[in-house]
Amino acid sequence: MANSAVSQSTNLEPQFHEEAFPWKHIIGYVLSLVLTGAALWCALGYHLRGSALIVTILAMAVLQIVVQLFLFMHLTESDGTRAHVWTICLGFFFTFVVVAGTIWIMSFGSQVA
Amino acid sequence: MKNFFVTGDPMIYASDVLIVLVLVGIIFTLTYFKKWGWLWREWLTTVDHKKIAIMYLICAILMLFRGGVDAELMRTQLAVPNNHLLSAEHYDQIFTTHGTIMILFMAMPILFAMFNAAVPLQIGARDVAFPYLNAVSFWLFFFGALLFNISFVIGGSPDAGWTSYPPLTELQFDPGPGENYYLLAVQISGFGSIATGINFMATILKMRAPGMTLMKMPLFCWSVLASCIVILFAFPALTGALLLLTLDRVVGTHFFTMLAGGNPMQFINLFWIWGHPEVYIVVLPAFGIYSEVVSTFSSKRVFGYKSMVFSLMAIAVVGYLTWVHHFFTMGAGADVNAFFAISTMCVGIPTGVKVFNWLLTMFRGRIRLNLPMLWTLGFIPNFALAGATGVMLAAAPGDYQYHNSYFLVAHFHQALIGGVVYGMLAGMYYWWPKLFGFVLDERLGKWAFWFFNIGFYVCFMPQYELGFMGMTRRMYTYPANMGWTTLNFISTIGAYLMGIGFLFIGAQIVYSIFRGQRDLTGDPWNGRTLEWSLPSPPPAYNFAQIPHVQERDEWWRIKQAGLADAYRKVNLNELEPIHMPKNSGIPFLMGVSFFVGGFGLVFGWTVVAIIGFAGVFLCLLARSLQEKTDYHIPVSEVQQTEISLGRA
Amino acid sequence: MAVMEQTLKDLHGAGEHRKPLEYTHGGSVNILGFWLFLATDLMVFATLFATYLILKTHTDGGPTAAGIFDIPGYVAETFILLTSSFTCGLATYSMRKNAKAAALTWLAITMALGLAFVGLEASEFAKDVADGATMQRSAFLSAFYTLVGTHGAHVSLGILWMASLFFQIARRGFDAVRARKLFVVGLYWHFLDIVWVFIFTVVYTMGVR
Repeated sequence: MANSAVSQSTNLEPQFHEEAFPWKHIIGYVLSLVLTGAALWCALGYHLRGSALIVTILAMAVLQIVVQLFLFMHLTESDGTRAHVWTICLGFFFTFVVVAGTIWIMSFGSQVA
Repeated sequence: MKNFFVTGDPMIYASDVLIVLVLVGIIFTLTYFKKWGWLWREWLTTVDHKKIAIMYLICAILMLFRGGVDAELMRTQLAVPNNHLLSAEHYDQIFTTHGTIMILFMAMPILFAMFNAAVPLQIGARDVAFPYLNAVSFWLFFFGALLFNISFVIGGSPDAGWTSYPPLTELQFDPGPGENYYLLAVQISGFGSIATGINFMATILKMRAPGMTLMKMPLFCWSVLASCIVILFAFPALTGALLLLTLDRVVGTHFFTMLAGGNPMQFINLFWIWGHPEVYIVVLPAFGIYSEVVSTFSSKRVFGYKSMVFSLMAIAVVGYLTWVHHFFTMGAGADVNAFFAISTMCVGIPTGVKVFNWLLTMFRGRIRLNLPMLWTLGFIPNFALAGATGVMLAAAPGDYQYHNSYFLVAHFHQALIGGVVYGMLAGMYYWWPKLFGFVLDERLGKWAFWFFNIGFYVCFMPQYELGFMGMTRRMYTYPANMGWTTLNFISTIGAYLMGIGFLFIGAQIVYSIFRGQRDLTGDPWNGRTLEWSLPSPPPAYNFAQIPHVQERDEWWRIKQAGLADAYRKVNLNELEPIHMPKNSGIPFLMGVSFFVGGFGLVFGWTVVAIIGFAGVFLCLLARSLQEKTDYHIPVSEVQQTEISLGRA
Repeated sequence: MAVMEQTLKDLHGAGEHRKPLEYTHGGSVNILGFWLFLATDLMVFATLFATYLILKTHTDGGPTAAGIFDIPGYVAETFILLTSSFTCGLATYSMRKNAKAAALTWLAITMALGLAFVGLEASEFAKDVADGATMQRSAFLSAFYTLVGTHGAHVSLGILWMASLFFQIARRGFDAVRARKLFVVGLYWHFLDIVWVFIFTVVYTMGVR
C-alpha cells in the first residue's frame, strides 16, 4: 500500500518463483489428515471425555484453520498481506464474539431443554 | 387473489390515484422529451460513483418524505385522546413502515450517497475499487426499497414493528404477505449494503493517491472505514436472522416458534447483533462529516486528529459489544446485564472525546455560519442529550423502568435525528455544490433549519416526560384521564414544525436548481481536502492526473503556499490515456430479477420466484463471461474536457 | 473491476514483476475484496453456528444428534472435502507454473470430489428425512439442516463456479484475469473447508459423543 521505492524494472513480465515441487500443499494435506484423524481418535475411541475432549478437538480445528490459511490460502503472500491478516483476524474475533456471546446470553434459566 | 390490492381505506385509494398519476406523468415526460435513451445510458447503466451518489440522494430524500408522512400520521393519531383517525391495523402498519424506511431505506442510502460523493474524491481516486459492484449495490437497494414500498398498495404492509419480533411475526399470528415483504425487501437491500461495505473498505485501503498514508487521510474517510468495518461484521447477522425467520414462515421450520423447541429470543439476539452496531454504522460517518465541516468552517486544522481516529475505531469495536442492552428485560442474568451495561457506558468515552475535539477545533477559530455549520452546531447539544439519556437507559436496573416507553422513543430519535439526520443534512449541504455545481440557497435553508431544530425539541422533549408518565411505545390511542393529553398535543405541534422544515428543504432544492449560486471555483467553502481542488461537478475521471499528496489537509497546504492557481492548471502535454470502467446494464437487470424473485416469494408464487432468481444467476454468469469491461479515455478527449473546464 | 489500480500502481512505482500473475493488473484489489467477502460469509456462518448451539438440545422429543448422525458417512464426507481442498490448492500451484493441462486436471478432480461430497450429504439428508427427521420436526433439526445445508449450498455454488471457470481457462489459457479468478475460487473452496472443519468438530463429533 505504501509508496514503496522498488527499483524500476524494464521487465514487465511477472516472474514469481513458485517452489519446484508442491511441498507446502503436501505438508498441509498430511497435517489436515493427521489432525482430523487425531480428533476422531480422541472422540470416537473414547480416549477423552467432557471438557477435555471439547478443548482438544476445538484446538485441532483451530490448527486446521492455520494449515488452510497459511499453506493453502497464501494468507501472507504478495502485497496487501497486512489487510488480509487484519480482515481474517477481525473475522475470527467477531465470530467468537457472536458464538460465545450468544451461548453466554441465551443460556439463562429457560434454556435447559 | 381477492386481497391482492389493498382496499377499504380512503387514504390508500387516494395514494393509488396519486401513484398512477405520477407514473403516467413520468412516462409521458420521458416519451415527450425523448429521454428514454438518456435515462438508460446516463443513469440506469452508470457505474460512475458521482452519479450513483446522486441517485442514492434522490431516493433517500423521497424515502425521508414517505417515512415523514408516516410520522405525521402517527403524531396526528396521537394528538388527542380516544382518537380513531386511523384504524388500529393501519396504525400498526404505519409505525412499522416508518421505522423500517427511516433506518434501512432513508439512513442507509443517504449514508451511501455521502460515501460515493466524497470518498473517491478525497483520496484522489478515479472511482471506487469495484465500480460495477457499486452499481449492483445501488440497484439492490433500489429494488429492495421498491418491494417494501409497494406493500402498502399491494397485499398490505408489515405490521409487527420495524424489529419484527417473533412469535408475533410467525405465520400463525401474522399470516398476510406484509411480513414477507419486510423480510425479503430488507434482505435484498441488505446484500447491497454488505457489498457497499466491502467496496469502500477496499477503496480506502487500496485506491489512495500516492503519498496519502492512512494517517494523512481526511477524517471522513476514516469514519467511512470504521463504518464499513461494522457493516462487514454486523450486517451478516441480519442476513442470518432474516433468513431463519423466512424459513420459519415459508418452509415451516421451528427456529423462533413457541412450539417444537423454538426460541423467539434467539431472533431478538441475532437482530440486535446487527441492530445495535447499525446505529454506529449510520452515526460514525456523520461524525466524519462533522469533523470535515467544523474544521472547514472554523478555518482550522481539526483538533486532535489522532484521538479522533482512535475514538472512531474504539466506537466501532466497543459499539459492537453492547447489543444486549436492547433486551435487558429478557432477564439473562446479572452477569450478562452488568457486562453489557458497562460496555454500553464505555462507548460514551470515545464519543465524548470527539465532542470535545469538535469544540476545541472551533475554539478561537474564525467561524462561518453557513448551512453545514449550522446543522453541525445544532447537532452538538442534541447529541449531548442523547448521550445522557443513553447512559440512563444503559443502567440495566433503570432500563426495567424505561424499557419500551416513550422515554426510549425520545432517546433514540434524539440520537438518530440529532446525530445522523443532522449530520447527513450537513453533508448534503456541504457536498451538494461538488455534486451539482451550485450552492443551495442559504436563506431558505436557514428557515428549514430553524423550523426543524425548534420543531425537534418541541416534538421530542415532551416524549421523555410521557415515558416517565407511563406511556408505552407503539400505543394506538389513550384515554383522556391519563394526564398525557397536553404533552401529546405539544409533541404533535413539534412534528408539524419539523414537517414544515422538511418542506422548506424541498422548496430550497427546487429554488436553487433555478436560482442557486453557481459554483465556478470548485471551492465554495474554502475547503481543505482534495475534492475542493476539482471543478464542480468534476469530470467523469475526476483527476486528469493523480495527485501526489504531501500533507493531511493537502488542498489547504497548496492554497497556503500560493500554488492553487498553478495546481488547477493541467499540463496538456503530460496527460495519458485514462483507464475507466465501462457502463453496464447488468446491475439494473440484476435488481429487477431480485425484485421479481422477491415478489414471487412474498406471495408464495414458486414459478415467479424461480424465474426471478434464475435471472439473478444469469446476470452473474453474463458478467463472469464478459471480456472487455474497461476502456481508455484517449488523451485528446481528456485535453478537450480540461480545456472546456478552463483548467488548461 | 478495479481497473484504475494499474495507473495508481505505476505511480507508486511498485514492482509488478515480484508478484504472482493473479496479483497483477488490479488483481490484488479483487483478492482483498474477496477476503473481505469471506469475512462477511464467515459471520453468516457464525450466526448459524450460534443458533445451532443454543438449539441443539431442543429436540422436542424427536430425533437427537447421537440418534441420526451417521459416523462413517460424515467421516467420509470430511476426508473427501479435505482432499478436494488439497487438489484445489494444486490447481492454483499448477496455474502459477503456467501448466494449463495440470491445472485443468486438478480442477476437474476438485469438482468431482465436490460432487461426491454433495451427493453423500444429500443422501444422508434423504435418509434422515425418510426416517422422519425433517427440518419441521424440531428446533434442533431446523438448525442442523440450515447450518449444514447452507454449507452444502455454498459447495454446490462453488462447483458451478469452477465449471464456468474450467471452460474459460480451457478456451483462453491463463492471463491475469483468469489467474485471478482461479485464485479467488480457490480461496472460496479452502474457506468452505474451514467451515466444514468446524461443522465436523462442533456439530458431528461433539454430537455423536
